[in-house]
Amino acid sequence: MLQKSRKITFILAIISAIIGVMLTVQLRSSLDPVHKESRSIAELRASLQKELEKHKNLLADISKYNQLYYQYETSLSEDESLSVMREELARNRKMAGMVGVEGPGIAISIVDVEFDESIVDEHMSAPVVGGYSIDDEDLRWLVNILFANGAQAVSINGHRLISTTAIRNVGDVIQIDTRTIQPPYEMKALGEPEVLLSALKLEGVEEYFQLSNKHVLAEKRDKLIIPANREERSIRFMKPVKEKGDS
Amino acid sequence: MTRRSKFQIYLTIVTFSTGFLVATSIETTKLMRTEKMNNQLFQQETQLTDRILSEKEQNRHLENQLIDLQRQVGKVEEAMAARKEEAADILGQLEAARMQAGVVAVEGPGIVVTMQDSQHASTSADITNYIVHEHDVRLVVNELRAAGAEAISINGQRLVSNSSIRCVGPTIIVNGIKSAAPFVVSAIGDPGTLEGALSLPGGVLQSLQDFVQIDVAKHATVQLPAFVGDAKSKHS
Repeated sequence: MLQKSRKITFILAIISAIIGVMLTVQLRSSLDPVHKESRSIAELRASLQKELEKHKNLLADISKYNQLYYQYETSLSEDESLSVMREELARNRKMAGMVGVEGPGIAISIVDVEFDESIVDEHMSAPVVGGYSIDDEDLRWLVNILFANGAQAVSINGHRLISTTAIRNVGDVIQIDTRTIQPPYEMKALGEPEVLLSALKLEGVEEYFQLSNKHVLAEKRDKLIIPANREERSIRFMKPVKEKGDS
Repeated sequence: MTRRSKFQIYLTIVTFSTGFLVATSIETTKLMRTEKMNNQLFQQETQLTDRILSEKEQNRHLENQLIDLQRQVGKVEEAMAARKEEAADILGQLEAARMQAGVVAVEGPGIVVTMQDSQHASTSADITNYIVHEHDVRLVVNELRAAGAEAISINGQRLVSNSSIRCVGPTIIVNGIKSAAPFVVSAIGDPGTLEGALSLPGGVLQSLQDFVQIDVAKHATVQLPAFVGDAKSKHS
């Protein structure tokens, strides 16, 4: 009898202790949830990175213009400063894509998948060769991937793409600015060949074009020539900002 | 018997409060630790924010310096052009090339297109239909180019000959610089033509309007910033 009631007391003590602990934990954790702030730290780091990058770029630009200014100032004759100006013109024309460029890069061609009769039996409807055509957004997408991975210049079927180049469907064909291009589409991209090739793999370019029954053949080239943009563009609306803007 | 049950009640209360005490002390030390960590995080955050702010300030300074420098160079060039006809000829070409390369800030008449996720996005079952994708932005840009836009920028990033447009989540990356929605596409050109091209029946505006919020506004002058960083080997 005595033993039994002592046992009960003992058990009761343990149980109430446990309940006490549980209650407290419950209360505490529901009262103040722990904040997670690591995400915003990552974001801040990213934007700091961005500013640092910009800083570097600005410094590079400033030193470039300083150099130009210095060259103008130190040129002894009119002819010399004229040649400095011509050099500057050539550099800017190159950046605008109005001069042909050459260097290492990759060549891409998008061709129809060859019709292989041995695979096809009567249950499978044979794909119409060339039946699935590529549209403008497909090309824009591919071009964008190239530029995003460091391509410095890209041409499609010999037409150099610049900052104002439109790629669009006009009727059944694709036009690059005012010129019509016909399949097969051949692209050339100047840049790090390895980087560009692995980017194509990573983005699933091959698989994407397979959906429209096309093969994407990409290969590395040590020397690639990309022509100048031939589009005549007169500037009618824009002019350089002379005053310091708000932006 | 009553003594015994009384004893039991006391024991219950005592052990109960002991449990309470134990748990409280454990929790408090834990809390202190997390608080310390939070504090550290907070400090880190403020430090980062400070650095970003000072870096921004510096960049603004540098930008002004660059513009000043460009103006100085411009003056020298103009002086040369005034002296010699040949120089004037080259200067004309140089100015055009600089504008087309995107290395100088430009202004002129044009339009501003603002794109934003649709308000339906949060309530709709199929969210992906109602947010702005990178191909939507490309579509608008492409249409503007086709309509003769002379210069375009997206969220303050000038499009140059090797610019790319990427979207990652709710942000857009142009020239390697990330920015958040709304996406503002500014273009210089004939405002009427540009707007007309977008709002053709069956055109871009019509096809996007149902899914995302898109506004087009004509402006007498639009200012586009220069592309910064042309000196280093460009990667966008």
